[in-house]
Amino acid sequence: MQIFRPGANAIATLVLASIGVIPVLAIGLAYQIVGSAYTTDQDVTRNQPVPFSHEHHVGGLGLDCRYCHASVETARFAGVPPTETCMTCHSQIWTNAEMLAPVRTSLADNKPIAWQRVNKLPSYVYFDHSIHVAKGVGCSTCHGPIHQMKLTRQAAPLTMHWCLDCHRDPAKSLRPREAVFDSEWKPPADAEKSASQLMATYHIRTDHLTDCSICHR
Amino acid sequence: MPPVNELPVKQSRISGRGTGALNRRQALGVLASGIASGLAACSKPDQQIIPYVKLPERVVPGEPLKFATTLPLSGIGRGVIVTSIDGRPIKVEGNPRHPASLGATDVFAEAAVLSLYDPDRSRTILNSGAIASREAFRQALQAHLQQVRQRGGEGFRLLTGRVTSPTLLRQIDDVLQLFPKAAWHAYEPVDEDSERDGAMLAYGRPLQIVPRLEKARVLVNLDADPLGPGPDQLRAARGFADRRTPQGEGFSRIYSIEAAPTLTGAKADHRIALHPRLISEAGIAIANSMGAEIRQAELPDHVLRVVKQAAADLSANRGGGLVLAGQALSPESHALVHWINQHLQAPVDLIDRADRTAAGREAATLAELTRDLASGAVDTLVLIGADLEFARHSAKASFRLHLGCYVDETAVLSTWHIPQTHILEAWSDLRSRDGTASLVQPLIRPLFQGWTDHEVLALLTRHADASPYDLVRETWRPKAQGGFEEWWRQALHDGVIAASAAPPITPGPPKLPNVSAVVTPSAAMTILLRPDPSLWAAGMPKAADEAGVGQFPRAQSTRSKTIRPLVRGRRHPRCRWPPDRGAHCSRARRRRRHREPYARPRPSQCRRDR
Repeated sequence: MQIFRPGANAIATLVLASIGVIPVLAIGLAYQIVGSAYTTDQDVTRNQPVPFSHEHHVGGLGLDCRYCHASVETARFAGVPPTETCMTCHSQIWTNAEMLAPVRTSLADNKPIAWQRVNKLPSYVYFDHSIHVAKGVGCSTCHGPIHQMKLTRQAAPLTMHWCLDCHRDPAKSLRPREAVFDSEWKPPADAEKSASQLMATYHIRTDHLTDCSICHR
Repeated sequence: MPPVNELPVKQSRISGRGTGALNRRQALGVLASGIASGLAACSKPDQQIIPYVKLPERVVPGEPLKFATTLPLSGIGRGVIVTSIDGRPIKVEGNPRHPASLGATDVFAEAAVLSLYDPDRSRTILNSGAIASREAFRQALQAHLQQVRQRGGEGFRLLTGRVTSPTLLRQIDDVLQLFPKAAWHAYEPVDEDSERDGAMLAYGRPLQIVPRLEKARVLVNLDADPLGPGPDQLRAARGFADRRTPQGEGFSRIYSIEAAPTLTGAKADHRIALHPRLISEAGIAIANSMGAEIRQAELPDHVLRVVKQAAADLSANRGGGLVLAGQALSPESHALVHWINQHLQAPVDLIDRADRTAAGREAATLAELTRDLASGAVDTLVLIGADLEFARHSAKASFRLHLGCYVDETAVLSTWHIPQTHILEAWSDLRSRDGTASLVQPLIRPLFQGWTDHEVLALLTRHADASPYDLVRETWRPKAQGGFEEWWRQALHDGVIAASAAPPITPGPPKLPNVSAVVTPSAAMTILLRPDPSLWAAGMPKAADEAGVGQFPRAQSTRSKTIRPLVRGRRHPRCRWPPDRGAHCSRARRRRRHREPYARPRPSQCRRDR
């Protein structure tokens, strides 16, 4: 009298094999999920109260980043413009546009516009814009081709791994200070040489750049 | 006829999709979906960025800004510079330009931020304990003030703490002018009665003493504690420190005769602990050595030796010797110290007190108010920032208005309690010990809809919503030299009003007081009441205590070791209860078999005992 059916052997072998394989696969899956756009919100376009188009304003009109994000060179938070900044132009252009009604309402009621944050970092991370801009990291290096975005999205994964990739070797992300706010800048042909020159010019030393307390203060 | 279903049969659970109860399969399914949805919640939470509509000048979101203001302690101001981020003050630091701060802060100034964000602060108007609206309050107040005005202010009493704010004093003048029969009382838990009466005895006018420790080569401290907690601590400490350098005019020497351990005694070169009633005898001994010819001082020999040495030191340092008397001494002792200082040409300035109005009105005392209350002469009582319990007599006043930051015992006894805006949210002005005036500017919009003391007094006089900003500007407009706007901006920027220190007065020679016969200390216990170095007085905000200010290490540890009663039986080291509470644990029961009678107290290993 057999207790187990004939197929029980196969099932037992399969189970034993999976005890070794499945945790590895599960961890691999977890890494994939955590690094995927699902978790990092990369390339996710958020609904904003006003469908602001960087493509029109930056790419089309040629506005400098600093016109709106005014504190990027002096403070750690680049700043989202107050309603007044929008109204510097839109009190005279497109004054009755339906799309700009929330802006006009905000100015009239003295209630700020609640933008949905696109580039999100957790609060245990300290990120200072001013030092990156001062050392030659361009806006579009991290924020992507802003001048082509009809609606703003997070172009980079903003994971710690991605940040460390640059912190371990900043040379490949640097550009001359004049080109920092140029979204269309491409690295020149002799990228290697100019990159190492920039490292020297901007006094960038990598020996402490990957210390924990640089970002986790 | 359809059959009557007399026996309702419960539907089978296995097929029960619509019954509302879950079967086992469904429960497992719900569990699995719960786990799956937990995994799905891995993305970043949504955040919003809310910019300004109109970005204020100089504000960079996320970056700190500093503003100069003044914070009171017992009504006396110390200038500070407060750091605020995004419109919220977070840190108080000293203002180097202000003579009462000189770049330093004390514990109470640092704790102002804690009390600002205290969740226990009063937020609403209370009418005998029930929440009321602003309109109801206004109507009740106006109705009552009508009656008061008809009587010319009879039965109206105003009780405040010490007031040095020129704007508030001006408003009090207005109120008393409007209500001629009304009276103003001031009560401060840590007050300077002896000092005031001493100056009256010596000079005939209530002058304020401003010691200049930086010029004192020899300092004799009779229970005064200039380095201890108080509104003048920072200035005194800096002056003291400036003279403790060998370079310059020479290292100072400090004699401290005191009744309790104090900071000044800790830094003194010679310190004597003496019964408080004998400290005035030391003053008599010093005065005698300068030719005062009062009666013999009754002091123990070893004390007399040191006092004679101190007196010799003082005499050898004319112009650099200083004697200070503490609050616990009698007014006669203070007058004697005035005489000594005058004789020594001590580095002391005498100025007019800051807590009197421009018209020369001074506040009456709390004792007089209690007497009036008891006799039923008071019908309207307005309490501003005073935390007192009048339980026995207060009910005799029919309208009691209390303005305070907390719903404390006084608020509970009042008919109307209105929340006060915190000093970091208000426009005002204050004077420091040496008379320097400075403006108080708000660091944050008021968190709760409250009133400042200026607004309440404006309500009493004009029934209008006068803004404290305008009131303060009105006070200082006549005193500004040159353009007022420029002067105003400079005063706000500096945190101190230039050249506003009170000019020193040279009164006539002080009278020697009639020092009565020696009061021998009785055999009974003497209690010394001193302000707590972390809490100051009872009126300190409670959040400061909860947030741990009351647990900051005190400069002098005055906690004595606990005296444990001699208890039979031995406490098990890890138990919290004394063994006489019974067999609460098996360890105790086991130990009880091996009892040892106590021969001496042992340091406790139980946490409860510490």
